[in-house]
Amino acid sequence: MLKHVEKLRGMGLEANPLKDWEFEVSVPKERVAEVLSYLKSTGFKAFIHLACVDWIDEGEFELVYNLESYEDALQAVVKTRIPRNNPTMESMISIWGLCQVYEREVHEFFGIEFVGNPNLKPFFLENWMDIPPLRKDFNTLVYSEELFEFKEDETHGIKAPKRIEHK
Amino acid sequence: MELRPLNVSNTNDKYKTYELFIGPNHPGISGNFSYVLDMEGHKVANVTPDPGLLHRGFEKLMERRLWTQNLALIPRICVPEPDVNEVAYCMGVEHLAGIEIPKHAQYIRVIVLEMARIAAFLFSFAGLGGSTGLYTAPNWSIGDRDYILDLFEWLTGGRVYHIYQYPGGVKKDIPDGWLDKLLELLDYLESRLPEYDNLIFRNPILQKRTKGVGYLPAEKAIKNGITGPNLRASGIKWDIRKAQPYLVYDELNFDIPITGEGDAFARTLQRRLELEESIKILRQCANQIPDGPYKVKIPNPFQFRVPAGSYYSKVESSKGEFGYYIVSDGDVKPYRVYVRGPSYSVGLYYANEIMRGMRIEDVPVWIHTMDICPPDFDR
Amino acid sequence: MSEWKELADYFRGRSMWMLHYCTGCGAIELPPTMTSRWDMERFGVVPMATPRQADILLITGYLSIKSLKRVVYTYEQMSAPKWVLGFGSCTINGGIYWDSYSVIKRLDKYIPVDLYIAGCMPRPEAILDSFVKLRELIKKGEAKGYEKYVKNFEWYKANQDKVFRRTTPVLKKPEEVTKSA
Repeated sequence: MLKHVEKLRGMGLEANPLKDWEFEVSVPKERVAEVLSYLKSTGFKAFIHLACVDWIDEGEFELVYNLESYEDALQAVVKTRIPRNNPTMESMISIWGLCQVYEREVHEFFGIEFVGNPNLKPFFLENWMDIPPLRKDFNTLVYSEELFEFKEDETHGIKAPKRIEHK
Repeated sequence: MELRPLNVSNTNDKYKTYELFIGPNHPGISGNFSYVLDMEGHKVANVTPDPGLLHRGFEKLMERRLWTQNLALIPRICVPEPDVNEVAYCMGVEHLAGIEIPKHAQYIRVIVLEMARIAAFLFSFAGLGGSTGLYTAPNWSIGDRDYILDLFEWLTGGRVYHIYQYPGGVKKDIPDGWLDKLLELLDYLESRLPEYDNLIFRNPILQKRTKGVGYLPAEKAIKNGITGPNLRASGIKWDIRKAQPYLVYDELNFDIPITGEGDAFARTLQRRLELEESIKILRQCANQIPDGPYKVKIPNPFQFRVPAGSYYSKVESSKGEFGYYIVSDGDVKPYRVYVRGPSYSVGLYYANEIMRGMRIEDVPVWIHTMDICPPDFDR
Repeated sequence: MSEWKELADYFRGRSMWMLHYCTGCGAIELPPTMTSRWDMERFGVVPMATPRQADILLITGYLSIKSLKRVVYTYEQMSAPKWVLGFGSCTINGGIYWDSYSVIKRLDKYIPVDLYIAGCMPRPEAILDSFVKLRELIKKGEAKGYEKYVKNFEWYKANQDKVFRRTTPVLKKPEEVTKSA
């Protein structure tokens, strides 16, 4: 694993080993495609996930690409930060076609535009009009109280269900 | 009178191409999930997965709850095998907080994980039986799965959701006599295996229905992020329990069977072979579990702060790699948790590719042999 | 007339076909209930694949907005008499998802529910018990949710439309809306 870390450090990137089989690399936004295709060529052929973290205080989104190498039994975590205002990111579908669905999900839940992704239509949610729900400034409690009005109401002549006791 | 010659289709058939919904209300789909298929006669021309019917916003809810409160929430992410969620989450929290859990607790975790794996495999046989019209298989395998759930109930108090793991160990120690019952159950399950073989795997109808369906070559499996038994059925020897061992898997003696043909039958057979290995693991655990404390004390949950950092913890589930990417900012609540479900890439991405040109009756077989579990990608 | 109704209700309660629609995680307890160990066919309940021939709609757990829409379609396709069973705490008040943005809280605001089964998740015995209770209710003529739906149709539709046909954002901060519908 150390040879991978050394190599990535040689490319001018910040790389740290985390565990016996895991290391992470921090990459500037522009070099993500380069690093991912480099890692793919060195055996990290499996794309595991793309996660997004909303660092609202720093005004940044963090994208986390997780790759796995089955030959060397290694895991690589590639991290990049993009600004939170008008977030755009290059799509990775040319490297892994699989990224298409992950990017579509991140677009829906965080509102990040992926340039080059052909299909960013709503995926999990229907008729969603508020800010993307997994952003930190989205308040799910206020939203659900407002939309579902779940506080007990006895209006409209419809009573709360009758309790049937177990004999 | 003569019959019409074969392979001459009705030229003015207005239903030559049509749209077909498989799911959400369809007996052939595994859960509340939907594929919209564009059909050309019997063949699938195009597929649009329509997830989100089970979306509950777990990742948002977890940011609003305490580190330990989340343990009540997460088993719901993967319903047929809820324990992988708890273990993966606890392992992530323990790694971030620097907690080392006792050997006894690690063995208990392995026992729980392997029991859940057997239960999930038996459940998948039921799904396969349902989708091929072999209705004896669900009656047998769900009935046998219930013996495992009974043991779970004795151990944890819950049949389906156990909420048994806790950062630092498990909630309660194994009760007296439980391990003996477990060994008895393992003997029973082992005695049932030949009957399963005769009913399911040697059944000529089932072989005909599954052999050659949904062929998945090895490079495609890697390229499409497929993990677990489906990957091994394509011939790649990759199991997190062996390659990057967690808990006490490195002290246990077990094999990873590889079938390698990569079709639907191989995937089912792969699960059947792995079930046998799980029985082997459980028997070893029951015999060599050391005495000791079942947990280390962690601070009061309201004061339990996990140091800032991020970690990806993963567990080999019966469906593939189940991972939790946990980010902490040093607060009493997680900052962000991302859940990687093993069915995500299979059900939402790879389905587009494999289902094109598949016959309609093979679609449920493909879904069930891939063991697609909708709640784990809807979250 | 009323004797015939009573007689019909007596038989209806003994042959209830349940729609095979797994709406939530409660669906995991249905296979044990259906198969050899608990065998719900003893009570005259069998799974049915199509809504047009089903009598019971078993809502197995939470409903996201997207599935509620499908459930309402399904419910309206079923022919009366029909009954709805709410299974699990999530159908009563949202249960563990009480603050989720995606899960509805009270099921009987959207479709009429005849019987709730409490718990997360209820055991197969509880499901069987609910079938017996429902049979008693049908016999007594108390399970009339489908008539309530017709009578209060506007109220139910208004509640449903509030969730399905939103045209404005729920949270009042339009400047923060960065994503178009």
